[in-house]
Amino acid sequence: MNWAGVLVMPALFLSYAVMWRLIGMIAIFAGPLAGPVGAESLSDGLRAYDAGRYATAAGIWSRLAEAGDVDAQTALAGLYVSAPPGVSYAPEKAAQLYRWAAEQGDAIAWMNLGDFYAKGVGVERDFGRAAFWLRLASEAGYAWASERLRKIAPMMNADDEVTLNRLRADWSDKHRK
Amino acid sequence: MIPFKSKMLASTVLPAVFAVGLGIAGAGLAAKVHAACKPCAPKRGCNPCAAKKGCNPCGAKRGCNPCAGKRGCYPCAAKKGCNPCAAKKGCNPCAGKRACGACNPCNPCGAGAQNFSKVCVIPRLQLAAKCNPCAAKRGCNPCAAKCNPCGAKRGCNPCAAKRGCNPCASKCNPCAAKRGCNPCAAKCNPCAAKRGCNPCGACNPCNPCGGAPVFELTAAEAAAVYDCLVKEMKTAYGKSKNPIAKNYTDFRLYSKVAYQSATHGNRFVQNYGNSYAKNYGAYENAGPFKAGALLAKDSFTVSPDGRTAVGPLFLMQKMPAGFNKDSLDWKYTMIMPDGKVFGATGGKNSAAMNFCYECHNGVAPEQDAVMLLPEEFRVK
Repeated sequence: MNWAGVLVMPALFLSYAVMWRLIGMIAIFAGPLAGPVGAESLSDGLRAYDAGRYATAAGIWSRLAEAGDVDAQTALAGLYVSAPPGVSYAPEKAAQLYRWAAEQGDAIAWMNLGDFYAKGVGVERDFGRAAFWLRLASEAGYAWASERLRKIAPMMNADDEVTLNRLRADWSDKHRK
Repeated sequence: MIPFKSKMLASTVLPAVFAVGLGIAGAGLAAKVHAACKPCAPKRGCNPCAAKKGCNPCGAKRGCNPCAGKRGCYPCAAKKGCNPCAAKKGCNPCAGKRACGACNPCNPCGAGAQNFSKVCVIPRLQLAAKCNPCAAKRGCNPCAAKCNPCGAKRGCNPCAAKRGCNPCASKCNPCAAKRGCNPCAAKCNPCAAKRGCNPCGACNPCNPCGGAPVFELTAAEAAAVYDCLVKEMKTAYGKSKNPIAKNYTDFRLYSKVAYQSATHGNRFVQNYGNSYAKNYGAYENAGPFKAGALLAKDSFTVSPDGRTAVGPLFLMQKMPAGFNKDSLDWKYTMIMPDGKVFGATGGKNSAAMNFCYECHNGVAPEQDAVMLLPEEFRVK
């Protein structure tokens, strides 16, 4: 029997195990330092947008928007309506994104969603809903929304007024402190 | 004492799992680093043609036209009376119908809160786009019926008439710009000669993942579009609460005509400066700017099919000393075409705006982080 082999093999095995443990420890501690795999930020999207890589920006903002990021939702909505090279014009998607952001209280989303309803872009034209969202933006101090509201006021009928009042009441109930 | 089996498990299997994790993390990071569209990368949604037949977007017979036969890509085609190009009665046969109204580039009367302009277009590029089989992918494809590069015999597809579908199929890189091989190259592919042969390159209108296309507009075209768009720009930026967005055009204009800015995503821009920034007109000799100096750069994009759209408004405002050492006391603000102030140094999403000064600080120190416009566009 080769006694030297009997003694050396376990020693080699132990050093092998120690090596793997070291690699494991590195993986555990270096992982968080490297950040989560595929993590993207609003800023990454903005960099891509600024550089004219619109499809890349849309991809990043899309994932963030799905996760509920209000800024990403409005940014992506803006891309879908401006339709720069690489991004298709998609007003329905834009309206949906503005709606998500609007329900989270984003005033720019209120203003743009109101404008969509006034023009019938991405949604059915509805002056009651248009007035509702524009009024919220107007009350938040957006002069553009106030001006737009003034322009659509003469086009509103009794049904639109009913819609407006119902939506305002619902909104107050939902956001009452 | 730990049993041998458990020791084996702890010594080999668990560390191996960690190692695999480390590998995945590394691969993820590497992928992030190489996030830009690689030539011919078979990335879904990146190059609709690449995945099917190697590198040649025209190689695949049907793959070359991503709209061909796909319902939803040409949403108006199947709807009776709703062909946006038909326009037999009145101006818009689809008016009020959402599916057509939204996607209809043929219909100048279509409703639109879109930020791309309905009236400010580049006729030369519009004409070229009709012949570019890759260009008309957006929404309704007005050429779909007669301009399928594989289907049509004549008309929009100058390749079709010669030898079957694609006479160059075996070696016809659409960016190769060899006249004999690709008869479209010279006049149909606006990017062909500019950026080598990479079909995924930044200039390829077939590739939605590429950067913004680089188009050259003549000074007359750029001036005409800007004059046409400036009202839309002011309306768009005016949605924000930022007072500068409403009055920046009252400032002095330092560019003769809208020019393409490589550092702003190849958008076309014009440069304005307020009275505190009057030394901007000295260009290389401007020296440091004083607090209150304000530079505004409005922008628009041009699409391969000649459409234009309002881009962001970029603002640089010199703040009192101590405002932000890293940005050399400049406040960078970006106002989107829907009125959203995306970020401002020292304000909302400040960190997201850091890339502005990271780029601007790269200029010569005596320029105080201000980039200068090309000499041929400077107002003296």
